This record gives sequence, structure tokens and C-alpha cells, in this order.
Amino acid sequence: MTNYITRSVLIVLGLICIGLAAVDLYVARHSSLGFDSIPFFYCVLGFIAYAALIFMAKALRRVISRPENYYGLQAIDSESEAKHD
Amino acid sequence: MPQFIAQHLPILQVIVPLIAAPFCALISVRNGAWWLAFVTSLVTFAISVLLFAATFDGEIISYHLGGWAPPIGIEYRVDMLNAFVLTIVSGTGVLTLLYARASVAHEVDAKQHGLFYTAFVLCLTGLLGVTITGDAFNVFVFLEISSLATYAIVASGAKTDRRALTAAYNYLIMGTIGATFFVIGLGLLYMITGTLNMADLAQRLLEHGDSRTLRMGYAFILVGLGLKLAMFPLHQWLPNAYTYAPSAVSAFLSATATKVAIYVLLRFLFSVFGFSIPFEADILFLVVLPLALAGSLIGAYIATYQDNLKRLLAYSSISQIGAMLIGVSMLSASGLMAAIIHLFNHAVTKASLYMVAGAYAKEAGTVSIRELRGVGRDMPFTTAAFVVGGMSLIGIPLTVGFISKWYLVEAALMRGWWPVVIVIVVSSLIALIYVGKFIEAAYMHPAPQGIIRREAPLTMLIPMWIFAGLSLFFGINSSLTSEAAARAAQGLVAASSLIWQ
Amino acid sequence: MTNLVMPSLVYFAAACLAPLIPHARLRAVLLLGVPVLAAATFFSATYGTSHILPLFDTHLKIFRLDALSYVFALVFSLAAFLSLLYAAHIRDRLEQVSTLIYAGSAIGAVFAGDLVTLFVFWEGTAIASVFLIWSRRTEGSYATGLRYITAQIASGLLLLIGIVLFYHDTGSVAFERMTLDSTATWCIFIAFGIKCAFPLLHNWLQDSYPAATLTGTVTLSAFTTKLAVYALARGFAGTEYLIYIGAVMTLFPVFFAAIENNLRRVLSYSLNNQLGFMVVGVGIGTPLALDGTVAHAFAHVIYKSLLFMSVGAVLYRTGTDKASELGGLWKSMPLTMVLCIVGAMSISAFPLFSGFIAKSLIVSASEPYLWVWFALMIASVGVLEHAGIKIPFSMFFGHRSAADAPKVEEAPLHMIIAMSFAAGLCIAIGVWPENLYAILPYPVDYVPYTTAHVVTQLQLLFFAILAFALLMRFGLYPLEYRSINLEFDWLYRRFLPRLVSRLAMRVTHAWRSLAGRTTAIATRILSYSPPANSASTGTMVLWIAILLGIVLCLAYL
Repeated sequence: MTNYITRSVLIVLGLICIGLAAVDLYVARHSSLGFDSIPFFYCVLGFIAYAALIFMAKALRRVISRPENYYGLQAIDSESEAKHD
Repeated sequence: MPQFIAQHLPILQVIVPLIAAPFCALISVRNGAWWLAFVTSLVTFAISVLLFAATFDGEIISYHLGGWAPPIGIEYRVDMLNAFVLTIVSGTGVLTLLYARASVAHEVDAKQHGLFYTAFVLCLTGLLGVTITGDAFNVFVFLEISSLATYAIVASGAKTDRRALTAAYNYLIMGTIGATFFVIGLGLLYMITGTLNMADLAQRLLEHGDSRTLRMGYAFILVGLGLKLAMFPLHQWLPNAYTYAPSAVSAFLSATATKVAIYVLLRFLFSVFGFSIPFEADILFLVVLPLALAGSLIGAYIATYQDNLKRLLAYSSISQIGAMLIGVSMLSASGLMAAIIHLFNHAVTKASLYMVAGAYAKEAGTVSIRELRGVGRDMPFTTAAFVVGGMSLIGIPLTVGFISKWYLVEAALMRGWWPVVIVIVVSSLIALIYVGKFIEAAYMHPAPQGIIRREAPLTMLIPMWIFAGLSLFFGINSSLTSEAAARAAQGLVAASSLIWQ
Repeated sequence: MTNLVMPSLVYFAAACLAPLIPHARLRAVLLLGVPVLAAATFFSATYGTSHILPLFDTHLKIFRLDALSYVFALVFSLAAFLSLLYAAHIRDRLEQVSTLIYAGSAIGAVFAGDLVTLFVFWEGTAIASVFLIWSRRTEGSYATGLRYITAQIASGLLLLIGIVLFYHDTGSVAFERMTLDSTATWCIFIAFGIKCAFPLLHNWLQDSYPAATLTGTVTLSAFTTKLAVYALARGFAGTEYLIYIGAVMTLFPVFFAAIENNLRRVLSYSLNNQLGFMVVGVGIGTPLALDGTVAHAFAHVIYKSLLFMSVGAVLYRTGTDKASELGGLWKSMPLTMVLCIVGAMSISAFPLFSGFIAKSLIVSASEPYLWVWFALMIASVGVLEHAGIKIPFSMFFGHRSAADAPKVEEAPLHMIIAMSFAAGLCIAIGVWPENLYAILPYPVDYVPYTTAHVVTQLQLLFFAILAFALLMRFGLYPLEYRSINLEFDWLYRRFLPRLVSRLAMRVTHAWRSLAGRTTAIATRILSYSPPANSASTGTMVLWIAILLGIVLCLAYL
């Protein structure tokens, strides 16, 4: 069931992306930048930036991740939850 | 009659104790010598206070002995500076004599009391005479009177410790050499000028200009007086003399003898020589200043090793004399003022400290710091007076020592002499060590076994605490002393031919 | 128009009166009237209205209504209304009073025509807001509150120093545009920078916002930082440093947000990143950029409130705001999910949502600065990642299926209403941008909805989502686990305290050993007695001879 939903979401998403990429060929850009009129510029930028960001963040986490009680009582992170009304 | 006395105050200042002195030896009534000496000192103190008041607004009293006008006759000349010193000397005389009754009874043979007080009063006479006179040769005469008397009263400590005799003997040799040098110097000056009146001398020396004879005279007088005032390294007679003399004598001499010698030095340097030739100032800078710096450090340093409290105080005196000489050799009005105010402040402080030592000598039978352990509990008032005096030696605020150090440091800073400031501060820190050493022994340690000590009698406590109180009072309210010192310094400045700042 | 009541006074009066109302529900309802009443005082007033308060020998312009202050005051009023509505269930008088004073101070500061008035309200926001953190009433929140108030007071003190120097330099305390050419203006600049969470001055934000009560966070997110943006826009528009500061601000929080477990802290990083866009706009300083900044601030306050409200609603029902403990709530909290996604799409700048029409202005204005433009594009992808995807995904879908999720109720009605109201505004602004554009300080001739712009924006977003989907599919997307991440504040929360205590220990040790050794040496020296005790007569006389000799030699030189 879950697998089915996931797969259909992926397929729909893939179709949208193909559609958007196809539209790209028919839309003229008016930006002052110039280089962004390269075909599929924004598609590539979005995809690569996202992936790069995730990988860099994962690398960063290897360095700076600490247990929740690192700062002890000086921080809210080590407090038990469900204190909110 | 009061009119007559008022006119003749300067000579009365000297003649009263001079006449009273032999009677002390003649009176055979029990304690009669002490009473006479004490009353005499009271009279001299009254006279000096009157003179101080008369000169405080800057007036200079010139008294012609026998009506002979200077330069032929002898002139007594009282200005702010020597009125200030006269008051110190005679005031110390009163208080030490008050103190001496109990102390001397303990430390000096009863048979010798008459002679002791005679010598004591003669010593007072000499010191007052040195201070008041305006005649250079008269200075020598009175210096000798006081010195000879001093040798005798130092030697009278022989009942307690025989070493007082050798100490007195050494002092005699050294004092005589000093006096000889001084009189040689005077002779050289007389060769040049043909006069012995100080004001006249100053005038003629100025006209005379530079000459080798003048330089020689300057050198002899400087070294001679340096010896008398215990300038490092000519101080070596002092520790033994002050250690083995009866405590009342130590208190009196430490507060007066060296101070008067410094006064004479100031008088000669500024009023007579007046720095009319650069050589005089150069010697001060090249010889006196380094020796003063060394003295203030080394004196304090050696003091830290002493176990004998009186000897410790003696070395402390050498250090403090170094501080005064630092002020003098700055050759500035502010330095001079610092030296003069320290002269008073140190007299007050040291007198009280020696009185404390005398009280220990009488009640505890010892002045060894080791044996005085725990004395703070047995003799609380006496030891408390030591704490006050000790704080003043260190220069802790609210004591006169702080006032002195303050002006001295300020004067050094005005000249931009940073190393001197450091030396002053370091010697204060060393003072902290030697004072702290005794205070620690007195309060922190238990008393040695089987020792019974009682608080000193009131006749000792009162003068002791008057001095201690003065060193607090003038530490808190220094307007009178600083004003007097400033005026005295200005007087010297005006007399010299240096151009000031 | 001298009979105009200052809007901040309405809040302060309410803050004094509100605690007197005994009935909690009645009080909550009545409080909703306060922002409305306060907004009514200036809503239709003409620009240029001002109040002058004579003080000593100078005049303070305690109220100044112009286009810039109007927009900020309006959105602050909206935010105050939303916060109070969202917090309608709160009975804690302290929190309510501090919310009112906080909002009133922020609005007062926006209307301040001179630096002294600004300073007073600036400190007002600092002091009132810390109670929103302390209202959580735990030890951790107390410590955090102390750090927060330290940063805020530091900002206030710097501002005060700056004002004094500025008055000394210029003889004026008018709050107008300044240039960074003196210590005074630098002090004021840094003071603004602390509140605006400039890089390295930012830690108070991520530290404290997750520590507040769940309603307090919503309130906090609206005022302090936007007040700082307003102050920068008023005082330092066109300062080039701000462009680069802003660019860094948009980028670095993105990485931290991606790996942060606490969702309110994720939103705090996101807030910091959004501030970066605004700071870039202020730095560029052209009419287009400043309009972009103002529009973005306006839109941002609403959608950021919406996002904090949705996380707060989940926190309210589940008791946690940690991504690692959440997931699969779409079935039990569907309305919250929908509203959260509206907020997510707004912040990610999907067309037809408010973020799109606001951020576009700044991005377009940044085109002359190529690298900055590039940074903003990457940051936009980052915003989509942490705010657009991570927030709704980790709460409502995530690593847990709906079946595994705890059965919780939908958010309370007042929260749903507040979120719906905010969501409605997000969409309304997105669909009809001209209403917002009309109240911006400069005339706008910008058209957001061109085919090219819509298409390129959708390409950017959908391909990023595609990347997310693929990373998820292949298990490369970082799953959250219980942890915290070290940040720059490690320096003063861990390193410096440790360093100081170590140093103190070292000094103590060194001192003890030195004292020991000195005592040993001193004992050794003191047990030795120098030979100065009794000099013989000969030695003394020798010294005299030496000294006399020296002096005489000098005499012959």
C-alpha cells in the first residue's frame, strides 16, 4: 500500500518535471543575467543545489553532532517532553 | 618681661637647656635630674612652638648674639624650615623624657641618672643649637656638643649590654671623623670668603664662582654630614649605637640626630652653596642619588634578617634616610618638600617604634623577635602601637608613611624618574616583609613557655601612643605638615640660585 | 491630527488592565480586540503624522507615521492578533501581559522618529520578550532566557552608546539614514545587527526560540528580528556591507537547518535565512530592493507565524517538536497538515503563494550582484528543503506510517482558526499581490506573474523536490535522530567556560607550587645571617675614605 503510493507519487512528480523541462524550450527569458537562458538552467540548478546541500549537510553533521544532553541543564534539549499545556 | 622674653626667644631656645644641663648632675634628690630635664624640655618645646608660630607666615627672625651684628657677630636665624625642625627636636625631647623615666630607671644605673640626664639635655642643646644658628662655625660647635653628649648617653646603655661601650666608641671615632671633615670643609670655605656667617657665605660664594677650593670644601662638608646623617654606606656606626643605647636614647636620637644632620645638609646645600656651580648638583645626582637608592633598598633588605628589634628598626632608619636623600637629590621643590615632610613623618614613626622596643626591653626583658613571640596578647597596647608604626613604615594609607611615599612618588613622577619610583615601591614592599615578620611573631605564635609579661606603664604608653597617634593624625590630616614642609621647601628654593622648573 | 492615540499606548494600557479580568476565556477574547483597536488608531491616518515630545532641551519625535513605519506596524498588528488568537487557550497572565508589552514596544519602536524613543522601545521588546521564554518554567529555559536577555541587553547598550556618541557628533538624535563613518554609527549598526541575527551574532535566536512556550515562540518569531530589519531599512539602506552579510545569512543556516532535529529550531534557522534575504534587500538599497524587503518582511511574518503555529499545534498534541519522535500524523491532524503545507509552500515561494511575490522583488534586485543572486538561488532551494519539505514531511509523513503514529486529536479550534487566517492571508497575498504592493514605500511596477518567472521558479522547486524524492528513494536523505548540533555558541557555552576554569585551576596550582618554593628558598636564606651586624671601625673609616676619594676625584674632573 505505502509502496504503491510512494511509487505513484514518484511517477507523478517525474511527469511534472518532464513537463516543466519541456516547457522550458518554449519560454523566452527576459532576465538581465543572460546565462540563465541556457536550456534547463533552473532544472539543473534546483536538482544539483538540493543534492549538494543534502550531502554537505550530512558531512557537516558528522562533525558537529552531539548527544542531546551535551549542554546539560543549561539547555532545553535534554529536558523531557510533554511539559507544554 | 614677656616682651623681653619674646625678643630673646632664639637664644633662650639654646641657653635654657645649656644652663639646666649641669644642674641635672648636681641635683641629688631622687628623680630630681629627670624632673629638671623634663621641665627644661617643656620650656624649650614651648619656645620652639612660639618660634614656629612666629615664622609660619614666612617671617624670618634674625637674632644678633650679644648685639653684635653679623657677619662679625653670631647670628641666630629662624625661618620656616628650622622652626619646623626645632619643633620636632624639642617635641621629641619632651615625649622621650616623659618616656625615659621608667625606661631609663630600668636600663641605666641609678647612680648615673644625674649624668645621664645632663648628657641628654646637652645633646638636646646641641641639636637645637645646630638647628637655630645662622653661623657656620657655630653649627660645628653645637654639632660637637650634641655628638659628645650622644657618645655618653649611648655608652650608658652598658648596664644592659656591654657592647654599648664599643658601639659608643665606634660612634665616637666616626662622629669625630665626620665633624673633622665638616670643619675642614668650613676652613676651606673660610679661605675663600673670609666669613662664617651663612647668609654672608652664600653671598660671597655666589660672587666667588667656581674654584677647586670651593669644590674641595663642598666635598668635605658633604661627606662629613653624610656620615652624621648615616648616609649609606657611611651608616655603619648607626645600627650598633641605636641597638645598644638605652631605648629612650634610641627613640630620641632616631627622631632627632639624623634629622638635624639632614637639616644641616639641606641648609648648606641650598642656603650656603646654593648650587651656584654645576658641580654641586652633579655630585648630588652622581653620588648622593645612587647611594640613596642603594641605601633605601639595602637598609630595608638587611632589616629583614634582623632578630633584634632595635637593630631591625635601625636598618629601617637607614632605608628611610635613603628615601629622604632621594627627595633631596631630585633638586626640585616637590622633591624637597617630600624630603622635609618625610623628615617629620619618619621622626614621629620611629620614635614611637623605638618606644615600643623600649617597652619590650623593660617588660619582657628582651628585644629579640624570636623571644617576643606572642607578645601581642600580653602587651596589647604596646604591640598595637607597633602595628601603627609598622604600617607607617610600609606606607599604608591613613598613616604618615603613606603621605611621605605619596609626595616622594609624585615628585619622582614629575621628574619622570620611573626607576626611582620602582625603588621606592620595592623598598616599601621589603618594609612589608620586616614589619610583617614581627607582627606575625607577635600575634600568630604562642608565647614561649614560662614567660610572664605585663603591659608597659602609662608613662611609657602615653608618649608612645602620642607618637603613634600623631603618625595616624598627620596621615589622615596632613594639611599642617604638608603646608609647613611646602613653605620650608619654598624658602630653600628661594635661597638657592637654581632655576626651578 | 494631534488627537491621535499612540498605538503602543493601547497595548500598554491593555497590559495593565488585562490581568484584572478574572475570567480566562473572556480575557482571551477581549485581548483579541487590542491589536484591532491599536491598528485602528493609525490605519487610516495620513502619512506624515507625528508626535513631538519636548524633553529637556531637545524634542523627541515619539511618533512618526510614514510608508515604511505603516507597513511594519500593520504587519506587527496582524502578528499580534494571530499570536493572541493562537494563544487563546493560555491562562497564564504573565505570558499574556508580556505578549502585549512586547507587541506594543515593537510597534512603538517602529513608529519612533528619534533614536532615544527607539532605544526605549528597543529595550522594551528585549525585557518583555524574555518572559515568553521564562514562562516555560524549566531550568533549561531559565538558562536560555538569561543568554537571550544578555544578547538583547548587549544590543540595547550598544545602541545607547551609539546614540550618545551620535548626539555628541551631530547634535541630533533624529532617526534617519546614517552612513558607517563613525564609531557612533558602527555601534548602532552592530546593535541592529545583534537583533537582526547577523552571522556570528545569531546564536541567541536558534538558542532561545525553541526554548519558549509553544505560543511564545509564535510571538517571538514575529517582532524582534523584523524590528531590526525595519531599523536597518530606515537607518542603513544602501550600505554595501549588508549585501554580503545578508548573502552569508541566507546560506549558512540552510545547512544547519537540514540536520537539526528540533523542528522549532529548524524554523529558527529558516527565520535567520529569511532575514538574510531582507538584509540583502536593505543592502542593495534601490527602491525595488527596499520594496522587496518590506514586502518580504510582511509576507514572512505571516507565513513564519503559520509554520510556528503548525509545529506548535503538533507540539501541543504530541508533546514533542523533535523530528525524530514525530511522523505519520497526516491522518490524525489533517487540517493542521494542510495549513502547514500552505505555510511551507508560501515560504518556499511557490507561485500563487505570498513568498513568491515578495522574494522575487529582492532576487530581481540582486541581479547586478551575480554571486549574491546565485547565493539567493541556492538559499531558495535550501528554504524549500528545510521549511518547505522537512517541516511538513517529518511531522505528518516521515519515517513513521500513520498506523504507527500515536492517535492524537486535531489541533484545537482556536489554533485552526488562527492558522487558517494566516494561511488565507498567505494565499490572498500570493494571488492578489497588488494589494500588498500598493502599501509599499516606493511605487512598484514589478509584475511577478510572467510565464518565464513562473516556469523557472517551478522548475527550480520541482527539480529540487525530485532530488528529494530520489534521495528518499535511495535512502540517502538524512534521517533525524536525537541529537543536537554544535554551533558558534559552543565557544561561549562550552569552550570559554572550560578554558576559564582550566586556567583558574592552572593558576591556582602554579601559585601553590610557587608559594611553596618561595617559602623554601626564603627559609633557607633567612636561616643565613648576613655579615652586616658589626662592622669594625677600620671598615667604616675605609668607606669614608672611598667616598671622599670618589667625590674629590669628581671635583678634579
